[in-house]
Amino acid sequence: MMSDLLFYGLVTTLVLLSLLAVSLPNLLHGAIALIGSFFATAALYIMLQLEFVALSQIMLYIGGIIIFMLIIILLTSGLGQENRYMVKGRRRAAGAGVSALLLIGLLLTISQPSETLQKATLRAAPVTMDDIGFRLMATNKNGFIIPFEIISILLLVALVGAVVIARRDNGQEQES
Amino acid sequence: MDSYIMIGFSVFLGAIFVGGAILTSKLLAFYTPAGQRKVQPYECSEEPIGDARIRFKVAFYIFALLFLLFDIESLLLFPCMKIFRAVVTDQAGGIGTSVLFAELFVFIFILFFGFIYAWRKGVLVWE
Repeated sequence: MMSDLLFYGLVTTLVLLSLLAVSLPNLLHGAIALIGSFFATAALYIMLQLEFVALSQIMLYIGGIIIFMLIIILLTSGLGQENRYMVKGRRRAAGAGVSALLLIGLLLTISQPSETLQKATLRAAPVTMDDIGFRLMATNKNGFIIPFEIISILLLVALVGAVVIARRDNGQEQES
Repeated sequence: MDSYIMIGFSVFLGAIFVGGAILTSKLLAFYTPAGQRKVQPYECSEEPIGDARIRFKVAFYIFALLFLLFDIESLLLFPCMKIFRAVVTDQAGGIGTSVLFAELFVFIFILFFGFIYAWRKGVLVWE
């Protein structure tokens, strides 16, 4: 009962903040609304007892992606208020139609009693951070130590790529 | 679940505390009609020049990129640190202390190499 109430409150907050994020005229305010909606999503993950996903939501999305968005917004001038593009009525109707179709499809899928879905739900136990740690560090058959080390190589490649692409030579930087 | 409720409660309490402080100061403070000088963000008889919102240097972007990568690294180190106690007290089922140390050393060393690369390329130099 208590958790149901919490769930509906969180979902309402999430939907409201997401709507604000796409509809506020000031881009900066929209980004702040997006932070709020990410927090609500993290709270939903915590309700599902998925600590690690909640932690990555807070650290990566709120700590990382949002910083990116703020920098992109601050790189532009005027926060998008002057040249705001109004969506025409026909396009708006088309968007609403596609969203309605998606909603109907989702509702149909969820409402049908599916055996596989039920089995999967029963089998899905909450994964604690310790489980993830043991599996990541284990060197036996069930371990994920090789993928864990490969992640660091992947991150290294991303870092080198970012440095190479984003940074030009000093001479060219002076010109632009 | 109980501890989460406690966290939620403390967040709620914090919000009330901050909101209450702002509201009380709104209610209690003297209100004088604000002139141009009153609403200046920096009220020290210094005339502010230009807009408060300036455009960022693109250099910040690479910094954010590097930050995001090392953010992912620290996120992946969290579960490994969580099992540290179990490993040290030998309850981790096959994962020894030296194994854990070697695995984490390799992981961090590879990324440290990237850090050195970025340093040598002069990304971290502030111009």
